[in-house]
Amino acid sequence: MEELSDNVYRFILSNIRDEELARDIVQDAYERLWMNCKKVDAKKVRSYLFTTAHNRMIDMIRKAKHEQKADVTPEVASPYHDDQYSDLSEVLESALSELNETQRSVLLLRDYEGYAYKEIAEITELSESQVKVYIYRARLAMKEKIGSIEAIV
Amino acid sequence: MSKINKHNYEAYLLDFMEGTLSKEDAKALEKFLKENPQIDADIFDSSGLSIKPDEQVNFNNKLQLQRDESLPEFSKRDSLLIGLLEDNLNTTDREKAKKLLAENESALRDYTLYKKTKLEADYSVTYKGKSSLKKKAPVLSLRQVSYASVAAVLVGLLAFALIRLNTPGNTLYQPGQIAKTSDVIHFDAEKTNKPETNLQTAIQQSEKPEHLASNTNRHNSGEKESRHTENTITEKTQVNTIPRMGVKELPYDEQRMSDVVMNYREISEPVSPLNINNITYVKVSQDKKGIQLPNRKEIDETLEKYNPIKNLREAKNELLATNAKSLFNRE
Repeated sequence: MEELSDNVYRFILSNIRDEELARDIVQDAYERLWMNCKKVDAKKVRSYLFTTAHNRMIDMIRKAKHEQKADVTPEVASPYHDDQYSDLSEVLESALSELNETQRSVLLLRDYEGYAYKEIAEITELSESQVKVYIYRARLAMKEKIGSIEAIV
Repeated sequence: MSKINKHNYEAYLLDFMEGTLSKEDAKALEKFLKENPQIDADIFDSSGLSIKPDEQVNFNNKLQLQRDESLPEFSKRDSLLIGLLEDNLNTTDREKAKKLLAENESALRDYTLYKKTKLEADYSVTYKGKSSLKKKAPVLSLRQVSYASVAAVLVGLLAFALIRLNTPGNTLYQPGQIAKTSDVIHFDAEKTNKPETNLQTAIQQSEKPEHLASNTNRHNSGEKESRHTENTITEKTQVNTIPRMGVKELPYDEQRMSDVVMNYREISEPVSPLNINNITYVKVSQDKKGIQLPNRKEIDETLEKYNPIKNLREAKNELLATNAKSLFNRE
């Protein structure tokens, strides 16, 4: 079960880009899991961890926004400029950073974990149709970003 | 002389085609063209002036103009391309998307960009500190610990007692023997907080136990003396007592023992002190001739009455109070 921590950690880290905070969130998710292990269906452990971590992350982001802590806010400026990308991964990272937190979360859950829209909806507490729209918007925005950078390069 | 000549007729001609040429100039232009038929033949060919649409050229992005009914904010084209990438198109739309890609280079280029939006996790990124995620030992509340401890102690005590009871010859007192004071413990719930400091005081107090006052009054002095003597083994051996959870423990002392036991009757039956956690429980035998153990049934009933989660003190109090009652209510 601890192996899931890698997945949760990557998901959170890709969202907030703060290793320490990401570790705290993973730790917190597992503590909550153990506290509620009798209530959690064994088949739902993975989903439970992602849900808990996601909720915790959203709480922290909102709190950080409220406190105007730019170092926690995920919408930090990309470290890359349009003429500094060395490969596609950097372009993608930059494009990902420009998405809003919901688009980023659903896209990461979709691509990293391969979750279905329904599962993503459960984790993020959105409707399936909302998840679909967020994913489409994210893809469209990232495609535009990639296209504009490729045109420059 | 006409103002229109071979050098400027094109300007008049363009104004005519634009509809801005005056009637006078239009007539002059007409006259000029009639006088110069060669110009008229070369330039005013009707086929050369009219622009016909190239029917071979079509707008290939019609889908870009359509909206997806389910996703109105997206064009049908983007919806098909993203849907194809997401693998959530129905059969009809899938065919449309494939046809679009086959026929439209621009759509194919866009689809290539869409495919690049697929994110791949970096598996070299791992969570360091998995050991800290393992389930920790359950943290019991103080109440839980207390209950668990009491239960464990009671079970242990009972097991130990049963072992002792079932071990022949283990501190077994034969008739005629007197139990060692170290093995004899008197329990008196009403005296738990009154540790005795010397033998005399203990004897004096034991002569008139408060909780036996009514019983004592019903007896004449002879009976009282007799009972006092019979109770000696438990009542009068309170030497250097140690208050311990309502139990007064009597450490072995040969000299004091000899002082105490002079009034003892012989023990008429073998007894094996019930030693629980180094505390020995005895009671005077029903035949008034010595001490005896509370039997197993009495112990079981007492312990059962007090659920293990109850305080050990209560359990012991009850157990030994039963003994004391038996001790002082003898026939």
